[in-house]
Amino acid sequence: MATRGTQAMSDHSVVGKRLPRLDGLEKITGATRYGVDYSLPGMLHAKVLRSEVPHARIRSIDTSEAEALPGVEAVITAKDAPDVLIGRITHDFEIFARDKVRHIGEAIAAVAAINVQTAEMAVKLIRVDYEELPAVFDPLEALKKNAPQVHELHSDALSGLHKVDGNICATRRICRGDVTQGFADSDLVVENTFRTQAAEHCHLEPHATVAVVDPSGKATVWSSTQAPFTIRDLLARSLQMPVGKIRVVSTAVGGAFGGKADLVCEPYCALLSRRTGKPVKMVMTRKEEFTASTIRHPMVIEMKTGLKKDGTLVARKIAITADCGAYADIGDVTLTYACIFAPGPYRVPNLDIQGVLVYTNQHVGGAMRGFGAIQAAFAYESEMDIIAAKLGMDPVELRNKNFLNDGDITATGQTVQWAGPKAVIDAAMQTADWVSSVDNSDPRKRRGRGLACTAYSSGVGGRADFSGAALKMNEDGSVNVSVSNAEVGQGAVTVLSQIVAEVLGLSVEDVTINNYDTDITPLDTVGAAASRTTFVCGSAAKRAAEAAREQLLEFASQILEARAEDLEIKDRRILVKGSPDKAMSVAAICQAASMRGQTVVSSSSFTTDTGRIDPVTGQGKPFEFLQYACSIADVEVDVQTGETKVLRVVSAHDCGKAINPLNVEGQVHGGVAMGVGFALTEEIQRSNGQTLNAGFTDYKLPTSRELRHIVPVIVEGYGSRGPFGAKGVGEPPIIGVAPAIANAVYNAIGVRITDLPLTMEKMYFRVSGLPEQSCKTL
Amino acid sequence: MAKQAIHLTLNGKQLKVSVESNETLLDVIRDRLGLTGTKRGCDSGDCGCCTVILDGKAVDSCLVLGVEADGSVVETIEGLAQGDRLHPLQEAFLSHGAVQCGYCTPGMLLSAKALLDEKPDAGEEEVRTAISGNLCRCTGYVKIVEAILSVARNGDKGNAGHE
Repeated sequence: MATRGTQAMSDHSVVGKRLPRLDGLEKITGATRYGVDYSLPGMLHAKVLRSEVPHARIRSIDTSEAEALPGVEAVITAKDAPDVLIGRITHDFEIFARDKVRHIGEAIAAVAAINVQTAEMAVKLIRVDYEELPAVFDPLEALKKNAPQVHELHSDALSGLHKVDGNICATRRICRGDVTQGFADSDLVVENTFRTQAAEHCHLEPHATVAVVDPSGKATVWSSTQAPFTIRDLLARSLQMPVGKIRVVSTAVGGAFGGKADLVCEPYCALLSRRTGKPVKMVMTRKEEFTASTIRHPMVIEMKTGLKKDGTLVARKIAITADCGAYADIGDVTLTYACIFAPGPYRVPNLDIQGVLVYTNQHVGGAMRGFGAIQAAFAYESEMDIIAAKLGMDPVELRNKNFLNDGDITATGQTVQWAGPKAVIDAAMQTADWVSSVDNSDPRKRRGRGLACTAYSSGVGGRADFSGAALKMNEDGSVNVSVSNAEVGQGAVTVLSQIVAEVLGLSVEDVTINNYDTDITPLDTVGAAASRTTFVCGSAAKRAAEAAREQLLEFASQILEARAEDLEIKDRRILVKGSPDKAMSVAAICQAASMRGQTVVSSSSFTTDTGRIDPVTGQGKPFEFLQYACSIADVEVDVQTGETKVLRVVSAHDCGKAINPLNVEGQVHGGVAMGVGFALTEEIQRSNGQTLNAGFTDYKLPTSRELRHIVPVIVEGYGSRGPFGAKGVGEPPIIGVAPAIANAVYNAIGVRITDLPLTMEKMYFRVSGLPEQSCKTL
Repeated sequence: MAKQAIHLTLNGKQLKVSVESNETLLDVIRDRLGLTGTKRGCDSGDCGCCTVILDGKAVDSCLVLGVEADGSVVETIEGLAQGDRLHPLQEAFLSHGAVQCGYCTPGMLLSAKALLDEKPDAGEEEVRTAISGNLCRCTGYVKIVEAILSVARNGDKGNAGHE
């Protein structure tokens, strides 16, 4: 690991330290209770019947045999649920298919039984009479006239029901300048089409929920979720209950990556508990994770770039078609991210970006680490290397020439601030020894090196993103902080504790993070998502700690008989400037204050200075800043078999300030690893809406044998409004990996891959030139 | 289904438990004995979250029937620390930052322990092979490998008192 960039004055005692994670002890001893580990006395177990056909009208559902099975306590279908459309942005989804099923895996009925086996048997006894309908599986086909219509009506939060135009779920357009003139003024025009695939989160803990509805009608839901308030809101709408009647508590979460912000088990557990009066638990099987929870949106990105002979970008026209599957989920926002980031982190004066989100009878797309930006980055960073090759220009020089720097204007018309593109690319190149030549002595195993520069941001884009934080101090000087950013493995508990401890002059052991209980912890936009925990929630926690510090010093000034402005807190002690003998421990001050009826209680919030972009022009301020990243991949391609190995990935990140470098490295390692999987092996293979590889046997994740050298580089000094200048680093590490690998493959063997992933089979055909159809699995 | 009594030595304690003939060792450990530190990730032997040490070998407990384990010595994550004293591998996982979401951690630790019990001075290739059946989606395995190697390099010293 290397740290580069402007080093801030290191006068922090806790922030910036490589502290081991505070929830580590319980995790290494097996004591952590994840969603799958929750259990209540008298608890029933739920299973869901899912559609086996991609598109059909439901003529009838016969649950009588299932209900008669001994041990079954309830069977419910759409008729037992409110007739209401829900969704995170677009409302088009019901928790049970009512009249129609639109994809294989859609929920039709749910059973509660005394154990899992009985529930599974009961599900098999439910008879559904389908009238099958023509289905559409390809978004480009779905856009054609006379394509099967997936939805007739949908709505959003503001408007009433309206007709779906063709199969278009949502559109997005971002325009600047005049692209026609831009292309006319260009010396060279390059045009390519890039394709990215469907992929699965593969958090190792499946979705799991236990719910209990008490006799007053209050629902308490323990769920393995990264976004408790999102779950609460979706539950409230789907069950037609006020939010105050629903309490969602995040359990420990065994990985999320965007996949644990949707309703998955929660509504079935809640409805079945209401019906039976007993707690109900549901855990998804691995097969269900692959077929019935959300996936990464596949996209087709057509990119046309006009530029001057010297490499100056002049115009870009980009068309993005995203397959949202059968329901919108958060696809509107994913598409928006793809469009915003599609021109790359470059100055392009003339832009026309058009995105369309298309309904198909496929598995539903949702949020996943890299969210729209990863698909866009594969296109723009592949295209940059294609351009460099055509111009005979150094790919680094091409990028350096066009980077958005402070003061430049982005695609959405926003002025760039706090950006350090050159520092990031330089740091990555230095660590990777970019200028050195790769060892290419073996004629069969060709090696190459490639790079990708990407930009992302922290916080939910296109809206004001906020977190609340509440804090209290105890009589022993310890602190409880209430926030709603789930700990999903990213290190939220440790980083937030470091921020609070730094402000209050305490040790991290003094801080307890009371997390994610919608009845108790403050409101939060979306929880642990959008690389926002450190930046948004951390800012709220810091402000709450600052307010607490003021109170503490006020109490201390009374007890120590000194002016508050003469006091400072250091190493758990409150010192009086100029009177060293007067110092007292924070604990003693808290204790003494409590005897006087004084207690430190504070709360605060942080809201990003961002908003929606104009629906017609795409102009606005969706993000506070751009944060740059640079990925450099070294690969080796076996020209006889097509096997492509990633030898090393160097991944440099502008973190603003690394609150915990050990944690940042962990985020980079994991993001790069997931990026390598996305680049090389991971693809949900589908035939007629059916997932062919719904498990880890056939959906290949990188293992310890494939992932060798991942080298994080932390760049600091390009600050933000975040705590101590920090920026989020959850998603950026994944974004540039696939294009860096594709560029390295081109560097190694001169073959340009424009469709992910670079599987061994695909590479065999591309390298050998043999026709690919001969080996199609479909 | 017929129940059958099996005898296990689990984390050093001898016990008798009555199991269905189709129950996996994972079911027995989690559901019958309430030891939830052993995780269920795929039920098909692909992810390694349910790894336990069975008669000295790291195995996926979802692929072993409870009745097959009759008479065996089983170690789970709950038995790795000796009272308050952590196993050196646990210490190393913590200090190296090898834990993120933690769901793969129990299985990783047991695969690593099985390796080091047999080969205390294992090298990087052996470590990578030993944990290649344990998927991790958070860490890219980097700090996990570092942590295990740090213990391996300490050799017998690191494993003292944990036999």
